[in-house]
Amino acid sequence: MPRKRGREWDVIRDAMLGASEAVRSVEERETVPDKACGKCKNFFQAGLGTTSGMCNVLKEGSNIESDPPVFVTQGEGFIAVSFNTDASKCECYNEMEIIDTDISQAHDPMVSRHQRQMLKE
Amino acid sequence: MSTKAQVKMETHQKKSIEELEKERKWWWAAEKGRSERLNYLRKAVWKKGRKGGMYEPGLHVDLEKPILFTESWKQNENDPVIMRRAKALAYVFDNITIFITDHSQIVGYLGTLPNTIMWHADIASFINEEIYNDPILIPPPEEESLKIMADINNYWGPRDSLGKVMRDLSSEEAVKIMCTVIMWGLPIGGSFGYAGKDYEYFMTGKRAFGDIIDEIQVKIDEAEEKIDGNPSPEALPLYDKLLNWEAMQIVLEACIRMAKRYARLARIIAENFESDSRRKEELLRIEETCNHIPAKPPRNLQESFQYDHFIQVWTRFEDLEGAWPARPDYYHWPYYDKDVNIDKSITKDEALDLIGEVMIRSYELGHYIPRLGAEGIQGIPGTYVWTLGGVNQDGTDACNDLTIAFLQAARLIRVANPTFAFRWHPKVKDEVMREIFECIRQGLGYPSIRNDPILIANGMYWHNHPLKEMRAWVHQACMSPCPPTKHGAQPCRMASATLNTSKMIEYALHNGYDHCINMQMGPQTGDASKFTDFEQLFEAWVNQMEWLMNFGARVVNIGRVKSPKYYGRPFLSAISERSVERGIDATEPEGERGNAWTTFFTWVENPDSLAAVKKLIFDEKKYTMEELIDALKTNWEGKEEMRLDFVKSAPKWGNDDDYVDDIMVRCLREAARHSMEMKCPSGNNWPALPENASGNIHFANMVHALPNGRRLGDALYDGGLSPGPGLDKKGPTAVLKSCGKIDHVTQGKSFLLNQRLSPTQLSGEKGYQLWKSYMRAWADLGLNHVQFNMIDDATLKAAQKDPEKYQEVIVRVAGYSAHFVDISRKTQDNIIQRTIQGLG
Ligand code: SF4
Repeated sequence: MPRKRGREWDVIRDAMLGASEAVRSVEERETVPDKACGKCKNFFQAGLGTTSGMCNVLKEGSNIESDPPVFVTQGEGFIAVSFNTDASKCECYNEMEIIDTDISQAHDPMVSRHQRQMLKE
Repeated sequence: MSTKAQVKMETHQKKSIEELEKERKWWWAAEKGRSERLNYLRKAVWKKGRKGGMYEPGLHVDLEKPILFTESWKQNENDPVIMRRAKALAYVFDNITIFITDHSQIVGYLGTLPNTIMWHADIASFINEEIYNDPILIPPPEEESLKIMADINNYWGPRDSLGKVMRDLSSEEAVKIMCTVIMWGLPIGGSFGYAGKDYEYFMTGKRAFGDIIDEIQVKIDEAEEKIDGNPSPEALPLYDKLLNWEAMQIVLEACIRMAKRYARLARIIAENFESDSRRKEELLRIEETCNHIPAKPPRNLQESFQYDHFIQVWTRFEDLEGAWPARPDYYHWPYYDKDVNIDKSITKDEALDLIGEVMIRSYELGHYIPRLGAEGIQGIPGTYVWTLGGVNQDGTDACNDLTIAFLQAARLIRVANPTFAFRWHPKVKDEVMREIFECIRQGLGYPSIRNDPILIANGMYWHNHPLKEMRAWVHQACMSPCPPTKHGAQPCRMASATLNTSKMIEYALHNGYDHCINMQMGPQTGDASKFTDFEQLFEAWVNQMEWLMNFGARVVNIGRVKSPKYYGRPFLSAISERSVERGIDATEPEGERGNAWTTFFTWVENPDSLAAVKKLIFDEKKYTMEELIDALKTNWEGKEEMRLDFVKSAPKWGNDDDYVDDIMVRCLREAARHSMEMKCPSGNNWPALPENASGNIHFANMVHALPNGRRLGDALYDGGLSPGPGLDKKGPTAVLKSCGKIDHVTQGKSFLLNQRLSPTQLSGEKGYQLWKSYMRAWADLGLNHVQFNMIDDATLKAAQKDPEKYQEVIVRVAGYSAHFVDISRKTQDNIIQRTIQGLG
């Protein structure tokens, strides 16, 4: 398979790393919007840390926070989002119910949410 | 304690040890059999493993180490990385709060309170954020702690080592790693790696830290003389070497000072806070011990254990070590022999107290490991697999009284970590085998049994380790032998060469596309629905296998060679002869022989799936490839009858059926061929090591439906060679015969086999003899590993219903043991589903 060192992968990598590299206040870290990616069934929680994840529907080029939002559903790479990314403008938002509230089950990236901020609601 | 529980306890207290053992109430019998001291220490300890994603309530992350480390890091901004690391570690050792547990004789812990776990903030900002988000671990007062933690995270966010390595890799590779569906772990120093130790350098009594500091000083003096002489290309590398040597000295001196802080604390407690004269004496002995070691070599068993324990603690202050390579019955034996047998300065029981405590002190050490890692080893904070038995370097039996004492201590304290792996060989005496069997019969799940002659040959075959060095081997992680020698010890093997190998067959069937995360992951190896014969599928599988193995090995190779730059290890270097001699960081591959391996999680699904396709599609033509691919894409939805056909009518591994066993051997042969083509940074091979830890549960939701009849979300098989739960229908000998078709020397580095045995069948002398003849068959067939669970379903099911009452039931998960109540429900169910094999 030809290796792709192109912009598309750089953008995804930087977005995934950026979620934990950015300087954020306690308030920004603690706030979970009413509609957040972490509450959506399409959020695939990354194994590497609980902050970031992948959208299982929207592809690279999408931006759910811009005005107007951009939705791309075709393409190879996904978009990286965080559990508390504001999803109020996302037309694909699909709310899920959190079942494993004491997080004692092993990781199911589609349904497990391990963040204190999500569980304390 | 509730009245009901109180009554129950009193009932147990009235019974004799023999009665309790007859009823298989091993925990209660152990409690009665052990000393008051061990009883106190065992009960005072906090578990540090996770149940699924959850830490035990009451645990907190320790903030002192990240605060102190960060303070020093900021103060020494202009220093090279290695000096900054050395100074930061020294600063932590000089300033972190220390404590001594009541009744203990061994000191040293990874935090400031017994309920804290260590946080290494400099490794990965991902992990830092996960800790910040953790529902359990925020220390009180929460508001204040969150502020401190946010500051630490904001500082390390752009400075961690992971971000740097991720930018060294191609961005596509970095993204695929971060998806975490194909591998487990991170390709960076410090990240839950497995650090082999050069025990032959620091643990043989020939030298201790004071001597090493002197050895380094000679090197520094020589280098400075050369640098001051005529300029030459040879002098140039010496500038970096000097930095490394200086960094090693800084840390070793700080270790000596830290030990002396413990000595001082022991004296302060003895003089000011202790009224019991016996305990006073013990505290003064701790003072004497910590004033002597690590500066000078140990003189007795307590000093030897303390020296070893300090070293283990300090390496974990430096790095998030995920394993605990050790061979305690070998390296502490001269001291045990002298104290107990020759000088008779301590009794056997007093020695047993020390041994039990060494295990408890190990059990309580835990650092924060990322959830991803924790779920793959549920219930424990790392695979602390200690090696027992084996042979001496001249080939004679190395088992001794201390081997037996460790096995006895394990039954008395019943911790899930450390566990033991026993190096079996034909000269092992019956009395030792009986002790081993007793541990297994008493439900510890350990020791696992390793076939020493096979594994010695294996290490010589794959890594060219000389015979004498291989005879000294220890477990570098739960399954992987490694010599603890100057050129043999591998100082770092990152967990990210652990591969979710079910993806090999999954991608071969879906042209490299991952339906769990909806993206192209593997190479495009053709539309499998158009394959017209088995060979086309097998070729696609080989391509996916090579791609996945290459991926895992490549990123670890890069992570490894970047480690000295981003994450040097001055302490590990200082206790490694190769580094001291050459003035290099231990993680530099120079002078290391190489002992790499790719761990094959979720492996047995490959031959079972390939066999199912071969039989039902290409041989019997019951279904077409189109039908199969369609059924898999929709997770067998509406195709339950077809799915069951793939479960029941296709041959399954572990039944001595050549149809599928030949496919297993063929797959391993291909993997072994490719293992010789992949090279580690030392230029040595990358053999495969099929095993699972609890990765079979962790990856269950990340492997799509497979032709063995598995659905997305179903637990994967539990071992590297273990048949699917309930699919081994022909008994234990058939399992052994299937496993015996593999060449355990040339077709992989190690292979994990789980077996469940019946506790009722194996009771008494008859039970022992049955087990022994099973072990003979195992040895004759040349298998390299086996481990046992010997607890009945009724107990396990009762523990699920009433976990409070069964807190101490231990099970073998895979490569390690855990308390049954500390693993997730899905993992518990998976263990219950394993077939109980009747022997005889
Ligand atoms: S809210 Fe939108 S962007 Fe976020 S996970 Fe759901 S579908 Fe994806």
